[in-house]
Amino acid sequence: MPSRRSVAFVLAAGAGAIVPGGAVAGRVPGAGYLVASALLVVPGYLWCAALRSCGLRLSNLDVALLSVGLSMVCAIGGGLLLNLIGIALTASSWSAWTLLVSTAGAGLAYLRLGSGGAGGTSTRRGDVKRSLVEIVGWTLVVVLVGAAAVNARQAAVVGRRTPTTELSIVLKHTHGRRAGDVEVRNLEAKPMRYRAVVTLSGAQISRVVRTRERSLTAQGTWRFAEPLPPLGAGDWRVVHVALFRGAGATTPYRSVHLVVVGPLT
Amino acid sequence: MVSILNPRSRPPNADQGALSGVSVAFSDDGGTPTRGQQRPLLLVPTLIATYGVVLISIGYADSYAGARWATAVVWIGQLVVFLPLAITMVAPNVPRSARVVAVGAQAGFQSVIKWMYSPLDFRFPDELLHWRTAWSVLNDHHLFHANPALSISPSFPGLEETTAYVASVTHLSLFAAGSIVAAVSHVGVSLAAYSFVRMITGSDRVGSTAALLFAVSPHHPFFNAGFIYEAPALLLMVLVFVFAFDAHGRRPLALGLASLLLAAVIVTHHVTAAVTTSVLVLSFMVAAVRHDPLVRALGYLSALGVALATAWVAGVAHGLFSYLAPPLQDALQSIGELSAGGGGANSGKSLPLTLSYLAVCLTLFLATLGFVRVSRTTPTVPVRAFSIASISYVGVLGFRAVATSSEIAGRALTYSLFFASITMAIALNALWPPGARAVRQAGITAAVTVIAAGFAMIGWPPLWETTPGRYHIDAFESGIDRAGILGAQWMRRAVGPGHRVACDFSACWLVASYGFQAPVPGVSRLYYATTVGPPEHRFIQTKALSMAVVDAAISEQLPREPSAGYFLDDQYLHSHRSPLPFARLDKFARARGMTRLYDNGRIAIYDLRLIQHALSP
Repeated sequence: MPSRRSVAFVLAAGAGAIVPGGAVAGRVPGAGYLVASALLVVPGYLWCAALRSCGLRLSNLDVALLSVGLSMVCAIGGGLLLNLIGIALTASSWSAWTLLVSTAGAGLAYLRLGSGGAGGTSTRRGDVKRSLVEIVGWTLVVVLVGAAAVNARQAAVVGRRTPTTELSIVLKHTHGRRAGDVEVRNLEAKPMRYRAVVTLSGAQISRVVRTRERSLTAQGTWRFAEPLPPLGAGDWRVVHVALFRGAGATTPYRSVHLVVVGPLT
Repeated sequence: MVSILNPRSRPPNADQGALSGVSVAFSDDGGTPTRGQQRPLLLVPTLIATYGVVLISIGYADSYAGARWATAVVWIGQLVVFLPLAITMVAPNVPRSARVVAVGAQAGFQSVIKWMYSPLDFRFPDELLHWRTAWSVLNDHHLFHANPALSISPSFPGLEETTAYVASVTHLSLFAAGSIVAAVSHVGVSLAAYSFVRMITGSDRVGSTAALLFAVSPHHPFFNAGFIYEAPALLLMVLVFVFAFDAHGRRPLALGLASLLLAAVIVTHHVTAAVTTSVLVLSFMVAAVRHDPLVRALGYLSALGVALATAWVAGVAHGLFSYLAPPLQDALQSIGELSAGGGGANSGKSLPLTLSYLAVCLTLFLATLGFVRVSRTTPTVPVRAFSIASISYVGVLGFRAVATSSEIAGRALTYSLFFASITMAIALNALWPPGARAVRQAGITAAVTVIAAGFAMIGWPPLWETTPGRYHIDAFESGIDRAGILGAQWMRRAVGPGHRVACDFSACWLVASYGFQAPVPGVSRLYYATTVGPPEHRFIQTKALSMAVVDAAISEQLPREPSAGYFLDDQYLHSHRSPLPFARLDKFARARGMTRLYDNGRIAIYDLRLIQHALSP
C-alpha cells in the first residue's frame, strides 16, 4: 500500500516531468523519453494508489500493468472528451488534462490513506533491496541491449545511405508570370557538380534555351525558375530539363519535363 | 497430475498477491526454491537471451552489408533468445520472480528486435497508415480527420490518441512516440496474459507457459509489436479479463475498472472489441448455466460491451461494415481453393513447410489434451469459458487451410491462440511434471521450440524478409526504402495532399502515408499497356487519376510474394514470369500530355491532370 508521502512524491515528480516537458523535452537530449515514461505510467499509478486505498487488492505486477493501462485510458478518454467539447489537442491541453486526472487520483488516494483506507498488498521491504549481483547483472543486460540497439541503428544508417539526386519541376506563378520551378537536391553524401540543360519544344520548335552549371555540397539544394513564354489558346510547350552529373557527362543522370497548354500569359 | 480445485479450497501456499478469488489451482508448480536459488535463475536466462539479441543485431548489420550468412546469424540469435527464457517459463521449480522477468524480458526483446529491424522509421504498411492518422491528430489538433488510405483508422483512434499525446507533450517524433507506445503495450500484453492466466488457474507455471505460447504465435513477435491498433487494444483486452473475473477486493471497483477498460478497447480496435465482448458473453453463458456468482457481473459487462460497441459503430464508426465486408467476401469466395502451404509467402519450401505443419499438429495435440483435461474436472467459469473459446483455433485453422486469402485467418490466429495457449499450457504442465526424466524434459523443450519455429515460418515477417536491408519490389517492409520515401515526401511538399494516384503495391503505402495522397487500386492496366493512347486516356479520366508513380525496379525484379502482383488488384496475379519490360514504364516519359514532375533515379512521378481534364496537346 503506498503512503501519503509516496503519492505526493509521484504526483510532484510526474507534474515536474510533464509541465516543463513541453518546454525542455524538445531541447534536452533524452528528456523526451523520460517524459514519455512519466506520461504512460504516472496518471495510471496514482489512480492505482487511489483504488488500492479504496480496497481494491492489487499485486505489484498488477499495479505496474494497470498503471500503463489506466494511463492509456487517460489519454484515450481525455482525447475524446477534449475533442467533444471543442478544445484543440495540443501539448498544453494534454498536459493540463493529465495533471487534472493525476491530481484527482492522488487527491483521492491522499484522503483515503489519511482516513485509514482499507488495506491491500504491501510491498515487501526485502523486494526493494537489490544485491550487488543483481545490480551488476541488470547493468550488464542494459549495456548489452544498448549495444545491440546502437549496432542496429548504425546498420540502418548505413542502409539508408543510398546515394541519389532528386530532380523536380512544378508550375509556379511568380510575379504574375508562370515559370517552371526546377529543384535539384544533392543526396549523394558528397559534393557534386551538376549541369542542367533546358530544352523548350512545341508543335514546331525544339531548341536548347539554357545550360546552367552548379556545384552542390552534400544535402545542398539548387533551385531556379525557367520562365515560360506566353501561349495562345490551343498552343502548347514542353520544358525539358536534363540533369548531368560531373563534368563531361553525355547521358542525362536525371530528367523531368513540364507540359503547358495555352492560353498562358 | 493436474488437479483443478475448488477456488474456495485453495492451498495455503497459493499466491496471495494475485487477483485470484475465483481461481483454480494447479499443484505441480514444483514448489518455490529458496532465496539462494532465485538469484541465478533470475539473471542467467535473461543474460543469455541478451546475447541472442546482440547476435540478431549483428545479423541485421551484416544483412545491410550484403552478407549471405546474415539470415543464419539472425535465426541462431532467435534461438539463443528463445531457449533460456522458454525453459524458465515452462519448467517446474522456478520462482515466480524468475518467471515474471522471463515473460517481461521475452516481450521486451521482441520489441527491441522489431525496432532494430527498422530503427529510423515505420516501414510496415499498416504502421504507415496509422502514422498518417496519428499525424492528423498531432497536427490538426482534433480527432476523426479522414484518412483515405485506411478509412476506418480515424474512427478507432485509441492508438493514435495515445501516440499524439506522448508526441505532443514530449516533442518526440511520431516514430519515437509510436514505438514507445507499441513497445510498452507489447510488454504489457505478455505480462498481463501471465497475470491473467495465473489468476484463473492459480498456477504461476501455467501462467508463464501460456504467456510464452501466446508470445510465439505467428503474428505476435513482429506484427503485434508494431505501431498498429491491435497493440494497445490487446493489452486493454487482457486487463478487461483480469478485472472482469476478479473476485478479490471490492467487486464494484473491479467492475468499474473493467468497464472503463472495455470502453477503451471499443474505441481502440474493432476486432479486439468484438472478441472481448464475445468472450464476456460466452463467460456469462457459462456462468449462467452453472449458476455461478459471477453471472451478474459478467452479464453486466456483456451488456455494456454490446451497448457501447453498438453505440460507437452507430455514432462514430459508420464505415466499419463497408471496411470489413470486402476482405470477408474475398475470404469467403476463396474458400474451396485449397492453398498449398497455408502460409502463402513461404509455401513451396520443404523445411519451413514441415516445421509449420509440425507446429500446427503439436498445437492441436496440446490444445486438445488441455481441453480434455479441463473437461474432466470442474473448472471455474473463466477456465471453462476460455477452454471453449480455444476451439476457435480449429475454426481459424480450417479457414486458413481452405481459403486462399489467408489475411483474415492470419489476424484471427492472435486471438484464437491466446485462448488456446491456456489449454496448451495446462497440457504442457501435465506432460512435464516436477522430477520428470531428462529425456521428457528435452522432448517438451524441443516441442515448444518446434512450435515457436513453425509459427515463425508462417508468421511475420515472411522468410524472404527475415533480414532488413535488401530492396524488393512490391514487398512489405523490404519494399519501403529511401528512394520511395523521398518520392512520397516530395509529393506532399510540392503538389499538396489529396490527389488520386496510380501506384504499385509498395509505392501506394508510401503515397498514402508520407505522401498524403489517395492511392487508387485496380490501375495495373495503365502500366501493362504498351502505349498511352485514347483507351488509357479514357481509363485515366474514368478513374480520375491525377498522378502516377513509376518505380523502375518493376522492370528489374519479379514480385516476391507469390500471392501478389506488382499492383493492388493486379490483373496479372500469379502470371509474371519475367519483370515488366522497361518500355512499358518508359512510355510515360514519351506520352504526350504527361508531365514528368520528379525523378530520383528509381522513382518517377507523372502529372496526369492534363489528360484527366482532356487538355492533352
